[in-house]
Amino acid sequence: MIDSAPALAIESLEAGYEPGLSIVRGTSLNVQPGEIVAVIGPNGAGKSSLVKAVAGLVPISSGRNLLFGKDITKTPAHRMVFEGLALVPQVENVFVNLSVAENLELAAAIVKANRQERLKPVYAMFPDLYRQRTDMAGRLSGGQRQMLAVARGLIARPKLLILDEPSAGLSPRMTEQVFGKLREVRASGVTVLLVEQNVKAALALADRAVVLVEGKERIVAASSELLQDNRVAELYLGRYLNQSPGRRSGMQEQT
Amino acid sequence: MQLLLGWLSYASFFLVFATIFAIITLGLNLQWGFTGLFNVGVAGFVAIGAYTSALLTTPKAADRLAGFGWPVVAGLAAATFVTGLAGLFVGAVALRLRRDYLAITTFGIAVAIQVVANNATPLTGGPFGVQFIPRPLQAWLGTGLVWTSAYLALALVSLGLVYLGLEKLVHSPWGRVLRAIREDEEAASSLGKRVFLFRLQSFVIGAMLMGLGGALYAHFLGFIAPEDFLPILTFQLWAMLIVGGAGNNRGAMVGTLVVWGFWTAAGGVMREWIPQQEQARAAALQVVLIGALIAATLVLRPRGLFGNFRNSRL
Amino acid sequence: MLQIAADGLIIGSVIALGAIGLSVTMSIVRFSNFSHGELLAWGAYLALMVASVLSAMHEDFATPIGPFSFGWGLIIATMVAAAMTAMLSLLLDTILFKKVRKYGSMTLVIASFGAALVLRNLLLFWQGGVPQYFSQNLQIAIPLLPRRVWGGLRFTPDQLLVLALTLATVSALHLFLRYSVLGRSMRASAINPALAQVTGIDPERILRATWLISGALAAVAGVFAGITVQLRPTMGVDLLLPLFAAVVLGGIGSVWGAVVGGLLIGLAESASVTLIGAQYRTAAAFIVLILILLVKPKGLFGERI
Repeated sequence: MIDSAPALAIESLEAGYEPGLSIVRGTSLNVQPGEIVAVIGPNGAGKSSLVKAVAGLVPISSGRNLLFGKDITKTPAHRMVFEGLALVPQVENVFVNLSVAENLELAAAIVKANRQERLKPVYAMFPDLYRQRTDMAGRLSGGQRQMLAVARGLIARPKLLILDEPSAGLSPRMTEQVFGKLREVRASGVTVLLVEQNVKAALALADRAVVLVEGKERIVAASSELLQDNRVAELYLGRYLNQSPGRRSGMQEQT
Repeated sequence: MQLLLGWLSYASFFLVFATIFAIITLGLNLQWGFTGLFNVGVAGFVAIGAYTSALLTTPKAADRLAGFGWPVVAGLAAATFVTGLAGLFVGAVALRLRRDYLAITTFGIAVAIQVVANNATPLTGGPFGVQFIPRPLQAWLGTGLVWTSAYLALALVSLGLVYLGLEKLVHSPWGRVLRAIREDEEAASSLGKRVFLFRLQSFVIGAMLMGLGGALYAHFLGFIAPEDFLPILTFQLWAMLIVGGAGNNRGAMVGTLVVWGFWTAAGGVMREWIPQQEQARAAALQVVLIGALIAATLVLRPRGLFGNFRNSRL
Repeated sequence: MLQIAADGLIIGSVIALGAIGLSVTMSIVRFSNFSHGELLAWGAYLALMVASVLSAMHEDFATPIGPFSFGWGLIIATMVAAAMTAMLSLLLDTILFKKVRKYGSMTLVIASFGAALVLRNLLLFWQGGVPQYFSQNLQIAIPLLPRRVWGGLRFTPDQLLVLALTLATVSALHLFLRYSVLGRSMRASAINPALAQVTGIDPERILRATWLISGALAAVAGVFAGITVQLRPTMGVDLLLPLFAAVVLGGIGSVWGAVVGGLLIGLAESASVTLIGAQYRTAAAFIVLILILLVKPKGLFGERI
């Protein structure tokens, strides 16, 4: 086995909006190049904050993040695309006051790339977006917006694409379409890390999954294993059916 | 002896103004320090109080509305009430909207009041303002140091009552809700309508205190004119609050003393050292200093002298 | 009747240009900048100073061009003043606003107060209180429509030029915001700052651009005010309420909103001068402000934040 750096190595990361009030509490995880990894867990576990911290939007108090071996812990959010990391935020992830084409063109211009050269392959991957290129992003449907958001992330030719709850607000059919695109993205050589609330879809897409509870990773395993794992079911059922304290403590003793 | 009397007279004049400003600053502190409402038109509210009391208490005058001849106490009460109404109007219009809209609206009110005061001569006496405002107990105490000291006592008593009242209010359940609103607006906004009402109440009470201060000012000087209520007054009052520390009533009072002292000292120094012809330009420098003082305090010690750090975050 | 509208357009042009900068600042930097008016005043006076220097160097600079009251000196001076005011605007951010940004928008507003005071009184100190003019040349109004047609329509050449240049400036700005990368980046940052960052847009760069542009526009507005009316050290604070009213009327963050708002406020002022009297002019802006806050607080074109 050739020894190569993971696409992303998060080491004991502590992060949060308020100093002293960490939401991410010492999380560590690795994403190998070419993988699709999903971060799942109950509401409030800190999944979003984790990826936002990696992307530079949430202050990090300790720990570090390495992108293909390079320390990006102190990199400001707006420099991340230049390092090869693109974040697709949750929900408000397109510029609603610009058209589809303008959204993409802006992303290309910012990384100082040739417009045509960047847009052509992206339009090829997202033909619907090409058809809608003069439409205002604000007028797109939820699913189309999500596609645009992903496309925008890809313009920068990232090595790692991070998505924050890409299925949020989408129908199961749209979710499957978006996730299908993510498979294409991975096939084109981009490593994918996604935070997801929709466990089933996430596990169907990802190679591996990390279960995050209260700011720390509790289980890291291959999706196929997790799909069989009672613990995950307990974790989610316990939450969805409204707090069964018994199950909760049962969960915690597994750590 | 003459020197001592002169000095005492000067000191009591200084203290009366300081006390009156302190009352106004306490009102501002309630609005800003405790409730986070940004009132840029303080001078306007002060003017409303001053003019209301003045117009209600002056004897007949040829060219303007006058002649009601109310007793001073009634004038003070009316001033407080009317200014409260003004606060109600402004608050009702602007408090539900985004934060800086209140700033812009109060700024607008002060400008509008300025314009009206200056031009509505039959009502306000125009640029010449209102003269012969009755001074309480003048008949018995004359016009000298004795009267000034008595007025100072009146002002101090008022200040004391206002301070005690505010402290009680702030530590009451009402005050606690107010603090909760200020600290976590999102959580508080789930309370919906009530947040607005609390803020409105606070704004109105603050306005009332400004009106009271204005009226006390009018009855001390005996005459007022639009140029007594220029934006510079607003800035002075804000400087007093910022330097003293917003959110702390004691701080507000100390800040008033410090800034007023600084201002009069600077004024005195300029008068002594700068030749007559340059006095107007020197006055401009005096204002530059106040502006720089506000800015410097914000950069170097945003909590002011006594304020709590949390209260300066908004 | 028409003349009210015409005069309103002239007043409105000045307000519109000043309001654009204010609106953009309020939308991107996110606070109401009470020192913005002073940038108009400083812009005008800096132009006056540069123009005087140029005239002193060579009298041709002062020679009026064509029917206008000013010469090349003022044109060059305006461009220099715009650059200087842009730098002044940025300097203000660097030494003051940037340092208190972390305390929130209200602290920024208070700081802008202090800055306004300092700027205004420094100007008073430097220039004294007497009104000044760019040129002593009087202008004759050209009748465009005779009096029998709706009261007639007259403009001085200076006024026509101010109108034309305002239109040109606003168009140029519009094109810049719509088509240039920096312009689009600014609009993107205004509408979604976090997304802008992850797209690679440097927020500090956007802030700098915002301050520079709003300063330059303010200077031009100040010069136009000086040409069409006069220069006085209080012109900044005198314009501040109309500027805010225009921004609120148009909707924060909307450039065209600021323009339309400015023109409408200008019309309101012009109408009030003719119908009620010049003294209540500022009250007109206040009344429009109250009305819009009561009826449509987000402004005609809606808020961009």
